[in-house]
Amino acid sequence: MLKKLFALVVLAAVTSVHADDGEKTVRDAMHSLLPLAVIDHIVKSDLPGFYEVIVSGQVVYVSADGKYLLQGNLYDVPGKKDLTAARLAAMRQIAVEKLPASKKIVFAPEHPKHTVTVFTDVDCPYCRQFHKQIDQFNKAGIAVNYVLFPLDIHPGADKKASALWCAADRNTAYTEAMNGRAPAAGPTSCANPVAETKALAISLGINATPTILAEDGTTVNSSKTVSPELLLGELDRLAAEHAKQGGKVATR
Amino acid sequence: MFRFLLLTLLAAFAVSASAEGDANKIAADALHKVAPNAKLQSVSPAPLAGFYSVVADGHAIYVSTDGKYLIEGHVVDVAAKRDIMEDSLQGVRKAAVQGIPASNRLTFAPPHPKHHVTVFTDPDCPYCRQFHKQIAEYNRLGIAVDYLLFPLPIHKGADLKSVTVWCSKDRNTSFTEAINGANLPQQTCANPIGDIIHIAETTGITGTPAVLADDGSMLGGYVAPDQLAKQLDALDAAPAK
Repeated sequence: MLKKLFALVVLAAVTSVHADDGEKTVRDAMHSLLPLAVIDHIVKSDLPGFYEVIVSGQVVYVSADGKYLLQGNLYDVPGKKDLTAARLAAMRQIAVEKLPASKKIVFAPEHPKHTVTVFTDVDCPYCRQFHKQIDQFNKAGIAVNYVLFPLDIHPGADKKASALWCAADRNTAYTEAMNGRAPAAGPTSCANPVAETKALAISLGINATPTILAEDGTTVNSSKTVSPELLLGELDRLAAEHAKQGGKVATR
Repeated sequence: MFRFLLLTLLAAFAVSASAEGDANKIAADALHKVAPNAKLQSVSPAPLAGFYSVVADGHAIYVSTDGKYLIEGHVVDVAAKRDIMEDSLQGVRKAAVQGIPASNRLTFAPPHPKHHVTVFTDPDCPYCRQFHKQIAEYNRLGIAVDYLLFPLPIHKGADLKSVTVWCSKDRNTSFTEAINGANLPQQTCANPIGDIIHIAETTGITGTPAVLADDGSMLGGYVAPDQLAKQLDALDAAPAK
């Protein structure tokens, strides 16, 4: 009995050493291409013979022998599913849910039917355009959680973001900022989550504003965000699709 | 004996033909499941074991040989630090380049060329201009240059300039003038530019200049004369694929 157990333990150890070897090979391959890459995650991919690697908010696939790296989109053909997009969405969904409401600027109706998370920048024209219809979005049953993501290409946007965060009435200050006005007198700096939410956006591979995520972490196509009707229709569609797949998110 | 040999040969041929047929069917089925309207152009075994290298609508993709997975994007050979997905386009590019008659090209060639390249060019593209400014140097190095007029939609008016060049009496001179910024009086006539645009779209050529060798390999966007000569020498030295 003891002997059998010992054999099992040895076997388990051998197996896990092998698994580690595969991961090490993959890690080495990644670092030979990108010496400074910070690898968040390595797991066996659905694609046989490949590992899935999450690095800087991107999903790539590396062959177990470390010889090939696939970057782009991997489709499950019979399931007609973009596995890469699904993984990215799942990763973003978890991260956005983890971010507490106290680090978002929330514009919500009383009984929202849907919630979107919008990565936004004070100086981004399409963010402003989106916010012009905030009342209509809310009326349509869509709650909007803004996450501040000042882009480096907009000098000063980070200061504006922290200033509006520090205003007495954050929501009003956001609306004012979206109309090009500085927040009314008040502290222009205070403890704020802007650096954190910016780092979060980057770590999720988000590189533009507005980036609008549905509940399941899917990025809503910008053509579907121009009116409350279109956005509502798209969110209904995504929710139905998600339910059809058993509400199952590809998480591991 | 002879008959037996013949039968064996026939059988071998049949096997290889059917393997090819299977590959085409697997790739086409997989492609059409994901993109119902995509047009399949070529299927061949990929350097990555277990995959077919597929060209559809001018894009390279990989399809697993069991038809279950499709990859679009890049396939990087880690040791060589190179995207090998693009290589899939070489076959369709070779066929396309060879299929374009000399009468549809603008040729700048030395008397006894050692090498030959096909260059997709746009009169309003700065690097195309830089390339053409050195045309004498390319020729001096033994490189014959066949231009294909490929006005990009992002350059407003480049299409009309290209047509004007094509329709002028001395195309080569007009091309040199137009690419150096001259505003030539507009001319129109039957021209091959639409065909060239179609060829570019179906072979994954999206920018200018695009310099192709006769074997369909992409030598680059702008490549300096001595560098291009080196690349062509290396291609000649490499075993034929």
